[in-house]
Amino acid sequence: MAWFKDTNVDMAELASVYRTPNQGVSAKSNSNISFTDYRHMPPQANGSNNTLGISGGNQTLRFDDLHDTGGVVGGSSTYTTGSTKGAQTRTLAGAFTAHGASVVRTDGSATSQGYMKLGSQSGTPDLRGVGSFGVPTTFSYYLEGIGSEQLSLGGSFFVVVRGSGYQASAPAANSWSTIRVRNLLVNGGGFTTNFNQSDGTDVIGWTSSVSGTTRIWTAPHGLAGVYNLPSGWVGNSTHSIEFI
Amino acid sequence: MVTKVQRRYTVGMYTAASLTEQDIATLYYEGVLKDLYIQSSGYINRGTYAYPGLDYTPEQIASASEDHKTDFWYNVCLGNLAQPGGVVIGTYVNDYLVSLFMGFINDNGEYHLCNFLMRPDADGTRNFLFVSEYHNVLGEVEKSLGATVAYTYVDVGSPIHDSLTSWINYFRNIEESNVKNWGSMVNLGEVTQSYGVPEGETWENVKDNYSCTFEKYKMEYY
Repeated sequence: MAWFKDTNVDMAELASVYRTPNQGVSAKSNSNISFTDYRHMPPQANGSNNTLGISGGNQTLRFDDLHDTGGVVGGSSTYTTGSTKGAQTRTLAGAFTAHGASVVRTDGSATSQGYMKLGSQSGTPDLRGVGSFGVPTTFSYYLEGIGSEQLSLGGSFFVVVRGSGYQASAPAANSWSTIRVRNLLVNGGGFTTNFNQSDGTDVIGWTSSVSGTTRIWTAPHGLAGVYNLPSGWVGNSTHSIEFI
Repeated sequence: MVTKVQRRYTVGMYTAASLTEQDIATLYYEGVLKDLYIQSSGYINRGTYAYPGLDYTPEQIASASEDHKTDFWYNVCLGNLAQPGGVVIGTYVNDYLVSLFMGFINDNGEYHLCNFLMRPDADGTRNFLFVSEYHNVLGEVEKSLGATVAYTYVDVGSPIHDSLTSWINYFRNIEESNVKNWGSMVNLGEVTQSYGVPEGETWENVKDNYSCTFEKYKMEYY
């Protein structure tokens, strides 16, 4: 299991989804689990954005903080205009399955990067059971990409979700309203940032397009972007995420 | 015979280390990279750094925030690491990161130093720039990574030319400076490099083709 249910979360599920704190790099036995050891990991703690920093301290954690959350480990792919001092760089950062990467990369290459779980785990490359996308009776929705592209002084965020199975279709454009992203830092701590599909009034915010049964959401960041920076979004490091 | 690559050298209070993508990400998320950019901006932006290849107006570039430009340099670091032989070397004074050197080492052992960011040490000084051990540990890492000769690219009109001249004159006769041969450093003159986005692709806000002219220096190692 790689994604928390939205009810009846138990300790076995905690060990399965978040694994060993603080970044879930290694597997965790179901025994000897201390709930408070996980206080750095969920996007929310005690019902509000998790602000627990590197210095630690006490932080109340509720089981419903875990509902509909999961983890991703971003990787990166980088292309340049050449070598030496004047080269410009294009970087795709985040977690993408081969199909997810193929619909956002400019060269169309189906090259996966990162992991749609915490740690380097086997299993399906996509993330299944992600909340807020609905539960169709004959097919499923798979999260196949979440990350950003960084060019020069700006770029784009991406979310890629595919419908798979009998009579599958792409998810609706309004399948989510908010995505909470928490950066899980190497030395503990982290920070949570909310991204709302309604963000942006004077500039272009989130838009989406459909390719087959896949919907791709994008939002610009940088000089002309609805978001100033990509640093709170999913990048080439470890994150917990939550779809609302 | 396999020779082990030593990615970290320490002498006294000075350390140099070859950094990974994860190391760079940590520096970015913890704000160290931003501080390096801010402390270096006097050298980068003193009318000499034009953000080559960007398809923005000078006004748009001028309006970019320190955070935008930090992201630009984060991307430069990643681009350096991604290219064949790419290296990013960090230097430390008492475990406090003071510089990032970005470049690549080709199969012929040529180290091409393209960009670097620098800040004062924890005591607020740049005295380390005139300490032999500081340059020695940096040179040792470069050599361990395969460098047998070093080339440095500097923007035309950059104040770094004066810095290089100062180091040449200072270190060339100091016996303890025994890894980088500063006395061998010469200015090879201007070189023009051409760049282009991959054929068939369009990169938003990046010119399809462009060229840049730099001054190129060469230096031997002991």
